[in-house]
Amino acid sequence: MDKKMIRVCVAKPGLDGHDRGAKVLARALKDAGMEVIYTGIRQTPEQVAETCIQEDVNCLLLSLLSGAHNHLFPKITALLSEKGRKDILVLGGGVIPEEDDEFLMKSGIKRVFHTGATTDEIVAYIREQIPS
Amino acid sequence: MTDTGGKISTLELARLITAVENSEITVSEACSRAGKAENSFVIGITGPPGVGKSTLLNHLIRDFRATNRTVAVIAVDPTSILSGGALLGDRIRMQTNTGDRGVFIRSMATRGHLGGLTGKTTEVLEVLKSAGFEMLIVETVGVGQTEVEVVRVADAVVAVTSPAHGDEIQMMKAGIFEIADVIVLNKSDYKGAENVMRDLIRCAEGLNRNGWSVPVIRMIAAEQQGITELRESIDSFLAQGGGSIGKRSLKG
Repeated sequence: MDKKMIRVCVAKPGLDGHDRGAKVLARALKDAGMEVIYTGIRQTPEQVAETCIQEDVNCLLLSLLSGAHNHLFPKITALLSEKGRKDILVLGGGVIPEEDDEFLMKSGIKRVFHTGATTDEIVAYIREQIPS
Repeated sequence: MTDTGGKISTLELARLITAVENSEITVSEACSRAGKAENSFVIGITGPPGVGKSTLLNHLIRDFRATNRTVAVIAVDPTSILSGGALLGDRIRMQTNTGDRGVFIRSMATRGHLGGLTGKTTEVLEVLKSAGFEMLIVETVGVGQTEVEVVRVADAVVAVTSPAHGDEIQMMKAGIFEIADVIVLNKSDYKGAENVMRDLIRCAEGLNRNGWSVPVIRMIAAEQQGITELRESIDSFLAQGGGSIGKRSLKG
């Protein structure tokens, strides 16, 4: 199997311990034929960035339900830029108010998926953004 | 940059591994770009799913670091036969080594390869050696009885089990215990551990390793009990020459 594989990191930054959504998504991405690295909960921005670098992922999905997204997401995208991986497709999801989208997108989050988004939508979006 | 080598950045190394994994580059090309190899050893960690291989490994990495050696890990998980995708979850238990440039961890999917490893394990190990890492650890997929390929790449094989993984007959069969240089009984605070420990010791006594008596280590990895003992056992085995591929007489 020598075709290019989409490698995705699903990460839970911050102190939020609710990872059902992240797990459902990780499984859906696996079922869609992608290689998914799940970090587990309570990760620092440094841990998330280092995982993305070492695993050489094409895509990073950040899931957060605690409200700290405006603080944590930009830290992660800044670290990725600093480490030379500005090219990673970074997506946000969880409980995120729509009014925060603009700020997050300016901070390097390509798109935010809100409550109610389906796994099919997310898979389709990743496939569209990362041609394999 | 790695502590020892200092020749290649983590980012470049990660990309080289992808290129090797996808057959976009030859191993020799990748190795020459990665740098110059140091003295290195390959340690294989194998055992059934869920016995605590990753948790054990997380602490073992720290123990090797505490004794001033750099560590690179390949953690293998299975590729789905249905979708071709994979959920690589070993890293969840290994996130305490972040920020240490002497540690590099890479998750790999089997991509259809049987035997407990990936089709590119040997190649990626070569690249990691060239990047200057000293202790290379391969964590196999959670194995059953016949996934013993790790013995072909490792200088030392650690077989991990836990209570409730079968009786003495299971240990007498061909398979992972037969190739073990060190045996670990993890979760040794669980019910039935005493009996399994006794069976494992008997199993270990029956292994012929050219004068090396295979130790059986009681471990509670989640509480870091038995980790240093494991590291010391691996070091003594390697000091005695290990069981590097050329030295094992494999017939299968």
